[in-house]
Amino acid sequence: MRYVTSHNADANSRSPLSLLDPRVRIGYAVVFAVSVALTPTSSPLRFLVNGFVLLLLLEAARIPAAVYLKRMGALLPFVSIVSLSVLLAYPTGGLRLPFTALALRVLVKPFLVVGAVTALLYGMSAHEVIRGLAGLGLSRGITAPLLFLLRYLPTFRHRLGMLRMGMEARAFGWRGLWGRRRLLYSLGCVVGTVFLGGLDHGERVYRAMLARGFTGEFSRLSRGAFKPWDLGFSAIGIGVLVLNAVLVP
Amino acid sequence: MKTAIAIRGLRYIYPDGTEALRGVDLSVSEGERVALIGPNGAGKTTLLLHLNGLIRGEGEIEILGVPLGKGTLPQIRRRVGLLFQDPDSQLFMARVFDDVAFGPINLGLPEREVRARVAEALRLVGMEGFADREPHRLSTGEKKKIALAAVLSMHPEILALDEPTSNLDPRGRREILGIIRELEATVIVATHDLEFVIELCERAVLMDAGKVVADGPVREVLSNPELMYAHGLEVPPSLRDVAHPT
Repeated sequence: MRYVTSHNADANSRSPLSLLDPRVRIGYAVVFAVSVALTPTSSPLRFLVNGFVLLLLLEAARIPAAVYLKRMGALLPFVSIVSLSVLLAYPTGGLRLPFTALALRVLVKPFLVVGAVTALLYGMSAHEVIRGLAGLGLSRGITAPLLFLLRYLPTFRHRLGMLRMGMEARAFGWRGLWGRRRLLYSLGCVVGTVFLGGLDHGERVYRAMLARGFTGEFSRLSRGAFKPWDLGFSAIGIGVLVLNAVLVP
Repeated sequence: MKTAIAIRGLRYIYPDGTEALRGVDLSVSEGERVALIGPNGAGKTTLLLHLNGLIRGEGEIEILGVPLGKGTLPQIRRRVGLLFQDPDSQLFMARVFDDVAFGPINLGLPEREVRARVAEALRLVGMEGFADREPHRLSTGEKKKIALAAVLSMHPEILALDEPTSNLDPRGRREILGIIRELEATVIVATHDLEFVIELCERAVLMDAGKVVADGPVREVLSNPELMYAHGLEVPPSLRDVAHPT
């Protein structure tokens, strides 16, 4: 039996980026985003270097072109709205920036940042991302509920699906005004049942935690040491960004 | 043989007024494997929850000579491992490793010991290689085994198991049976799976309406048709010849 549910995991298991600690992947995504955001539009050459770094990241992530383009496509509505506003504002003289600077701000910066984040996080499960964020010092008060949510969302979805099937199995449907009222009443009951079931489930989970010595405080193991590849990647990656900012005109 | 569990006059009423336990007296020796059987609502699960101090009724409970009380709870929870009927209630972390490590971490063990215990527990239940898996993606049988590993990683001296074979296919059931059989611990198991009881336990305690109504060797209790039928149970197929010899 195979448990891999998407091609992401296959690709991730082969890519050099997958060997990195999640903290390094998330951390470098943040550093790269800040670096791109701070790059002045008067230095197009620096954008070229950033673009080159992005290409290297995409290669290291072994991300299929179709997947990459699909994810970048999510940016299009945002870019289109901003571009349209800019085009409409230009004739009025409201914008005095040169066209290249605007293009770099509106088009290049978002695509560089989102592209790098896509490459660096490609193949990571939501669970790994949250653990990575926790490892980088994000409060346990934020990450613990997220991990719980991640764990129990499928359980609640399953429960909701079972209730829906239970309704449909008994020929539940939309039939005139009376049917509409019944539909609303029944949906209310489903939501109530899921909510009450959730409370009950929460109580049982809490009991299970107490049974294993939980005293109200979450403890965790150490975050684990970085490997040489993590340190090497960070040093080279950050070094390139620093040199780009300092040396490239 | 020393007494592992001593219960005297245990009564418990749920907040809605349901009287779940009505003066239960029970004694289990160290190393014994005892089955709690009875119809739904007999009080089996409520009794198991008391062993770990998760709910507190009237009466006295001693675990391995230690009276159950507020001050002794951490010690008792370390010594009594409780397996819940629904593994989805027990496995609440996003990764198998974290779930199995949850108990040992709460015990304050050093990291190396925690990792060793997780590896050992997963090996005991035959789930090596599952440490990085997400519990919600596992089958019911796998979840049950991981839930058992999460209990075993605390090295409990007493195992309280609530319906360990419910919703399992025959293979899963056999695997759980094999794992529990190999354990050197006092086992008290609440179940409707009477064939499982015959294979695992030497003693059966029949409960009904919050009371112990029979207590004796498994074959003696389970092969008594009058007793079994009177309390909503049936003589298991493998003992029917014993109950009605031709």
